[in-house]
This record gives sequence, structure tokens and C-alpha cells, in this order.
Amino acid sequence: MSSQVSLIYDYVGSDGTNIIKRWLDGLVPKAKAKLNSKLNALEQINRTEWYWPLTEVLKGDKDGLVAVRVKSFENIQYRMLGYDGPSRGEFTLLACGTEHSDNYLPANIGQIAFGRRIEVQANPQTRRIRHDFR
Amino acid sequence: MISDKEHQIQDSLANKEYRDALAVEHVNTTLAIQIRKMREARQWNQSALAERLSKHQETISQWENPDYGRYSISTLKELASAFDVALLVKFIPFSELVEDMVHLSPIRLCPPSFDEERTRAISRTPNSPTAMDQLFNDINDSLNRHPHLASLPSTVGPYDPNRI
Repeated sequence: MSSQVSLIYDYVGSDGTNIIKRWLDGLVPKAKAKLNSKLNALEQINRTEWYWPLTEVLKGDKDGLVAVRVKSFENIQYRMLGYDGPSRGEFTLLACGTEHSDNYLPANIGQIAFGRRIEVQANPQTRRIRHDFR
Repeated sequence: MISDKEHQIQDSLANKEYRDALAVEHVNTTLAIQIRKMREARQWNQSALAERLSKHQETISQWENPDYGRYSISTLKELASAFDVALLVKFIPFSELVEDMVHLSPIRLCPPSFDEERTRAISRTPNSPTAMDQLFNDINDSLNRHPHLASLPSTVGPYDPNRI
């Protein structure tokens, strides 16, 4: 893994919708601000310096994915799953949800993320966009 | 020039609840990362820092968690003393918050201790790098950290003191 910073990208659906922004826009302002604050910081520290509990390298059926972790004011554990790529110095957010007692919601968030990763890899120009901090 | 990201953050501040939360979260996130980075720069593990502050290792772990967010000013003063750096707490306009958010440089996240800073100043003889050299070194460092910037149409290239 490189020691440079990683710019953060959002997954874009086949209809051009920024799926990550849509999910963030559905959260209460406090939770959205918390996640955006963390993403902003992650973009400015070397990728090798990302640490738990700010992020978590996932294993098992989510091997290869990294979760950005946030515990909200309502004790909800938000998770934004992404991967290092498609190019060096890039981290693409693929799927978002919540975690409760090691169970994700949606339960198939890993499968969703892997499916989207394939789409991003195949069409990096259209299927991802720089993270929108609005 | 204001970046897209800066514009986006400025736009997001229109919502009062959001901007209040963003200001709080920026402090929480930055403090947690600063504590971790300053500790690691001094090659202390969490227990070593805890010992200096007469705290438990678990407390340091909490402080390095960006979700913690319950720092007291007296705790921050103790930490500043342990790391031998200054602590500045002040009210600022949101424009400054945005500026701080988009410029989390390595030196801002991991400020040098008093002695480190002094050593650097003393080692700067007349033949040593000037402030301008330092500035261009910082720019070159930024270009290395953000390689995409180098490909943007610009007159900025790697700094060469002989070119000026």
C-alpha cells in the first residue's frame, strides 16, 4: 500500500445517481456531518495511517473492503464500505449501512459492494465521482 | 483558488444543524488524529503516554477515537504539556473552519515539540533553506501527496531554486 494520501470517490449508479450522496442525504444532519468530517480527514492523512476505530479492514466474506466507521449520537453505528482503487491513491466508497452486534444492515452489504466494485473497475470514468462534501 | 471541496463545504453550511455538527466533529476528529500522530511521532505506545499523564491506557485509546468527543480543556492542556506543544482554543468564523478543514497538513496534524522546533531553527544557517525554500518544499511535498495536481494545467512545477 502506498504512503500517499487517497482521494475519496463515490460510487455512481447506472442512471448517473451518486448513490453515496443519496444515502448521506437521507441521514439526520448530525450523522451526515460526522461522516463527512471523517472522510475529509481521511483524505488528508496518508493511507497507511488510517487506523481503527476510524476505519476497519474487513475480513471473511468482506475481505478486500475497508469500512469507514462512525458511531452517531443516537448510538447508531454507521458504516461506509469502500476499497483502495480503481487507481493508486484513490479510495472508492461503494455501499453504506449500519452495524449492530457484528451484523450489517443491509445484511448483503458485502455482496453489494463487491458487485459495485466490478462496475467501477470496468467503467471508472462514469461509475464513480469525487466525494461530494455538501 | 478555492477548490471544489472548499465550495462544497461552504455550501453545506447553509443548514444550521449541519454546520453546528460539522464544527464539533471537525474538532473531535482532528484532536483524535493529532493525539495519535503526536504520540506515534514520539514513539510512545498508549501505555507510555498514559504513564506520563497518570492515566490508564484505555483512556488514551478513548482519546484517539474520533467518536469520543468529550475532551475537557484541562485534559487538552495536560496533553499539550506532555507533547510539549501549545494549545490554542478560540472562537472562529465558519470561513476559517472551512479553511482549516481543507488544509490539514502534516505539520498541522502533528506539530513539532518545542525542542524539535528550536533545533530546526538553530540548524538554519545562512546557507540553510530559507523560508521560501521551505514553502516550495511544502508545495513539492503536496504535489507528491496529491499526484493528480501535477497533471493539472498550471505553471507550477517542481521547485528549482536555480530557475528563479
